[in-house]
Amino acid sequence: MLAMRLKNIIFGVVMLAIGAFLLSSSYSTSYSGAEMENGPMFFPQILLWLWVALSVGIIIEDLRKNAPIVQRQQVGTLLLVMALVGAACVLLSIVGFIPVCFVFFAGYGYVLKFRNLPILFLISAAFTVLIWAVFNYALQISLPEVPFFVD
Amino acid sequence: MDVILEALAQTVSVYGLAALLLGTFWGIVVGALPGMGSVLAISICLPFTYTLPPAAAIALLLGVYCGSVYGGCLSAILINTPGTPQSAATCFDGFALAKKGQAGKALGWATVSSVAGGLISCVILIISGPQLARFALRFGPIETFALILMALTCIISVSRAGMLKGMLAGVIGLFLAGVGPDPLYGDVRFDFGIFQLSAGFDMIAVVVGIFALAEVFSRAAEPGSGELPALMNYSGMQYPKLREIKAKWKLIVKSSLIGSGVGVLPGTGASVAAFISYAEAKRTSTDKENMGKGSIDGVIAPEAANNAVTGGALVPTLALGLPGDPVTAIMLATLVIHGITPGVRLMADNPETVYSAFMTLICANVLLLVFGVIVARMFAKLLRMPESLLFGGVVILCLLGAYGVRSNPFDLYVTFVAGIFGFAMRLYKAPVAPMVIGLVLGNQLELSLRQGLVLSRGNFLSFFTNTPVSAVLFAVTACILLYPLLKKLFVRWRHASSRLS
Repeated sequence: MLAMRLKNIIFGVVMLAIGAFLLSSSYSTSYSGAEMENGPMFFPQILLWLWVALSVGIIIEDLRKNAPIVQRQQVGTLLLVMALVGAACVLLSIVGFIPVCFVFFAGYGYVLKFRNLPILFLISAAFTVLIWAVFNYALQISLPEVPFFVD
Repeated sequence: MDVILEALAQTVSVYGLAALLLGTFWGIVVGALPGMGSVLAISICLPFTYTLPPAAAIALLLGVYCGSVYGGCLSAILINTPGTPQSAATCFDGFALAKKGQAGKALGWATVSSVAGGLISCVILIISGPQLARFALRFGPIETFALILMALTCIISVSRAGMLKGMLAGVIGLFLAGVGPDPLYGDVRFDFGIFQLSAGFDMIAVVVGIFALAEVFSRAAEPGSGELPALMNYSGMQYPKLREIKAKWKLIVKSSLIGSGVGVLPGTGASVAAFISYAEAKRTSTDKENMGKGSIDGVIAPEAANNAVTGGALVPTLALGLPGDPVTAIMLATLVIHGITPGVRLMADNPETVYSAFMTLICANVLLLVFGVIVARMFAKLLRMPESLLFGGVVILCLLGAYGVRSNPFDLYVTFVAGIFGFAMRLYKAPVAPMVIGLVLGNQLELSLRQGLVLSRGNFLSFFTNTPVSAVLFAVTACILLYPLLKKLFVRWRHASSRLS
């Protein structure tokens, strides 16, 4: 029961911590005009005080709930997918679009149990080429290039 | 009469028709793809307008605009990921209907509502454009602040998870909009020494993360996820019968009027109109218990409103030369490139261009009935792919959409973090819609508040008595906020009285 209640209030506690941190940093003298009336920090501070108050209200509300708020999740698959997407975000501009798209598409399909590998690789390659062609030639939007092929 | 005939000749010319057909189709396709959006769709077409005659150039852009605003509902209904921010409200009931095996019905209603909303706003534009422009001029900072506050309150009030989580989501969105340069003084806020944050967060990067990536993570976390349940019974778009449309005509007209009214005001947009219309539908619907769980009213209201904005948004653009959003800003630029100056003289100096724009808008809306079916069928075929492949493609398109706005890798990191945050919000049943609206409107809200305080010499209380318009808007906001509490107290009082008697 206690464990469930603690799980229920995690969201409120994290929001409170973030709100409190941002609120305290808004009073920092490193911001010019911090003491001005109707200055740059005027509106954000109103919002941050509201943020903190609402977070406290949510914690109280969630503590009073008798049922679990969060249902069961497939944590392993979720973490793998998050890692894949995160890696794609980081590597897209470093390694280039083509390798990232191919590896991500194939990896994502494999993690989500598409296990016909020849078909998976074929579709990944076809998708990568199609998107690259559409963006570069039809839409004239340059995609991040593989650094080895850039002069 | 000669002017109207000239305008008709320009609209149905080879260039004009071709531009309209291609533009509408392209707009729907791009609008349906998550992460792309109306601005990207129109920006891509801009270079092609240079060599076209003015009427054809406007036809191309208006077709893309109408099509992209409508196209967002396709992915909103079929995969719970709005193709454009304007279709975020359609997700609530559209996807719920699709999960019940009624995706075709939801799409049919969305299409009919969009067409109706667009056509009604065209009629309003033609009849009362100059008068509406004069009304829009009366909206100063205080009225704008009151309107945006009312819009935010409407949206928060429809969050099922409770007012507190909805309000927190709205506050977070407003705060995120303020990261970066201060709108009055230009001081950089909350950048924490990170150079890329000095320009603030890009809205598309956040919206794509909050909706699309969060959806991807949710599906990965669900045990036994496989083929999208929405498409198991999808057999094509089903247009509603005439008697069914007649039964909903009041809602369609009301939502269209909301969209047209909001579209007229500079600085607001289709997202605001869609959410206000949704909240109003929820308040007055005979099916309010089902709103959010698969009610047709929840599809009709936002779709009629967001397409009605397309006509309304042309009023300040053409009559005042004031673009209401980035899309109309690009249209304004196109007119200037072709030697046409929007403003009070436009009707006098280039009447055939104005009438041609009206006719084009009417045709573009009618074309949605045909192209909507075609693109929905294409989209549905695409969506029959195994989810593991489909969402891999969706993620790639979303990341490219986020990256493509500023070609800035930082936007990818923002999208990723927004995706994790959006997933956490879903996990804890906090609504994301108020956050998106807060992000869209935050800068305008803050600017209008601070400008209003300057005008009133720091006296906030005078906001409530400034003009009748602002007084009414604040009163409506107060009613929306207090209504749930007053209703609870009233029910308790009635209970207590009936027990006593």
